[in-house]
Amino acid sequence: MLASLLERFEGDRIAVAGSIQDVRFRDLANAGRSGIRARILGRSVAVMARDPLRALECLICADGSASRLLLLSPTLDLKTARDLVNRVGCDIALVGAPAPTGGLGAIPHITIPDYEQEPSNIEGAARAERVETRWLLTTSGTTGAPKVVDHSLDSLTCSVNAGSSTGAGVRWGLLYDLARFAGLQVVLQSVLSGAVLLVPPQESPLGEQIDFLGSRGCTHLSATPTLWRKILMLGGERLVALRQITLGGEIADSQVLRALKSAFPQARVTHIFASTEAGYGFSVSDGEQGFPSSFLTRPPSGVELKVLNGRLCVRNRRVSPCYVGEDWKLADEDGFIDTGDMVLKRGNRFVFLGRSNGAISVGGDKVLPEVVEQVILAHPDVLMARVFGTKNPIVGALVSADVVLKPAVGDLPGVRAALIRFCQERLPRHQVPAILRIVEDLPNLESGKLARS
Amino acid sequence: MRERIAAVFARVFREMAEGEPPQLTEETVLLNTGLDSLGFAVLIARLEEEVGFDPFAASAEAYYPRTFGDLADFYERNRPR
Repeated sequence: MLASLLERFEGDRIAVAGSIQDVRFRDLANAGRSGIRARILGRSVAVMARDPLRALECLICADGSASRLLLLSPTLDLKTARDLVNRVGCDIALVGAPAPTGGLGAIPHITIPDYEQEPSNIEGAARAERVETRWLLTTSGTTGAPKVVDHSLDSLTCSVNAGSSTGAGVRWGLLYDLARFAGLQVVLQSVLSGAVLLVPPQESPLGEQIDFLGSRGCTHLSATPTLWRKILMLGGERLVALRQITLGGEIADSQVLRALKSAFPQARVTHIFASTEAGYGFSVSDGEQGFPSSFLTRPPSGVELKVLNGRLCVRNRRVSPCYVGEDWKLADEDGFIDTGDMVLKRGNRFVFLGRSNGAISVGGDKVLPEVVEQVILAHPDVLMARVFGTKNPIVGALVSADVVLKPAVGDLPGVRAALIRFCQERLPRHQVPAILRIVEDLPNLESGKLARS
Repeated sequence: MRERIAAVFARVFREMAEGEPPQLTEETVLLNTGLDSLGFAVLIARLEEEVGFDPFAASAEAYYPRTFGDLADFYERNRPR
C-alpha cells in the first residue's frame, strides 16, 4: 500500500515542495494515521481536496484501508460530485481542508488538516489491517456526465519506475489535476521513486507556474501538447534544469516535438498514449510522431494493441472492463477497449489522425479536425491552431480554423491567404478551412487540452 | 450590396474553381458558373463574414437561389434592419 511504499525513503528527504510549505517523506508516510484508517476500514470512500498536498494525504490514508476510493476532481461542480458519490455508493468522505461547502452528500466527512496539528503515529499505521483498495477515477466527461473507471494501485503504477535510486535528483513538476489519470501518474511516479514533487500555486496563471517550477529546478515535466505550445510561447528558458519532457492527452505532432527538442536540446522528449479507461498504453521517445507499427505485435509495456476500423484498441488486463455503476461494458468480448482514436499506417509507423467522435461532416465527407490542425501547424508562422465545424446551409458543415501566429509575424491578411494556399496544397478540397481567423490565444480546459466546443 | 456579393463571388471563384470568374448578370445561373456546391457553401460562409449576417439562418423556408439575381435579392430581403 502507498504508505508503506513511502517508508522506503529516508524520512528527511523532501517529497513535496509547494509554494507555501515543503513536506518530507516521513510526514507523508505518517499521513496514514491509525485513527482515520480505522474509521474508513473496508468502506467506500470519496476523496476530494483542492490542494494537491491534502489530496495526496487523503490517498495515502485511504489506500490499504478503504475497499474503494473514489477520486473526485476539485474542479467538479458539487452536484456532479454528489451524483458520482451516489452512483458509486460511497459511505464516507475524506476531504482536504477547507471542506467543500455543503459537503458531498449525507455521509460522514473527515477533514484532513495540516501536518503541524497532528502528532505522528508510525507504529499505528504499520499495525493497521490492510485491504486491497480499488481506485475509482472519473473521466472528464466532455460528452455528458463523467464516467467512473475502476483501477488499482497496480494498474495505476505499471508504468512507474519505482526503484529507490531513480528518484535521486529528480524534480517532477505538476501541471495536471492530481485527481485525473495524467496528474495521478505524475504524482505516483514522483513519490514512489523518491523524487521531489513540485506543486506550483494552484490558481496562478501558467506563466507564474512555470516561473515557480523553473526557480525550483524542475527536471521532469509532463503536459499536453497545447500546454507545451503555450510554454514555448511564454519562453521555456526559465526551465533551465529540464531534462525530461513528457507529452500526453492530445496528438503530439512533429512540429511540437521538434520545437521542444530545439528549445530544450538537453532534454529527452517522450509522448505517451494513455486514457482513464485504458490506463497507460505506451510511450514513444524516438522524437517522431505516432508509434512504430511493431508495437502491434511486440507491445513494449505489455499492454496489447490492435487497430479495428481505423481505430486504436487497447487491452489492459489490470483495468476492470466496465464503467462503475453502469452495465455498459467498456471492452469487447476479447477485453479490448476502443479508444475512439483514429490511426493510419504510414510505412512502418502508425500516426494519429484524431478523435473519431470529433469528425466534421462536410457534405457527407468526414473531416477530422486534428488532421487539418497538423497541416496548419506545419506552417512556420503558426504557433497553435484549432479546427472546428461551422454550420452551413448548403453542405451541412464547413471546416473553420482559428490560428495563433508566432510573435512578430506581421501582414495578417497576407498570412491568412498564405495559410489557405498552404492548406490547399496539402489537403483535399473539402478539408481546406473555408474560414480562417487569426486569434490572440486559444483557451485550454482544466486538463490542459485544447478547448474545442 | 450587389457589388459586394459579386466581389466575394470573384474571390471565392478564384480560390475554388478553374479559370477566371465569369461576369455576373441577374440571370447568371450560379451552379453553371463552374462553382460547385462546396464552392457555393464557401461563398455563403464568406458572405456572412463580409455582410455580417446569414439570410439562410434568418429565412424560414429552405431556399436555394438559382441565379445571381435571386441570390442578391435574397440578401437584400433578409438584411437585418
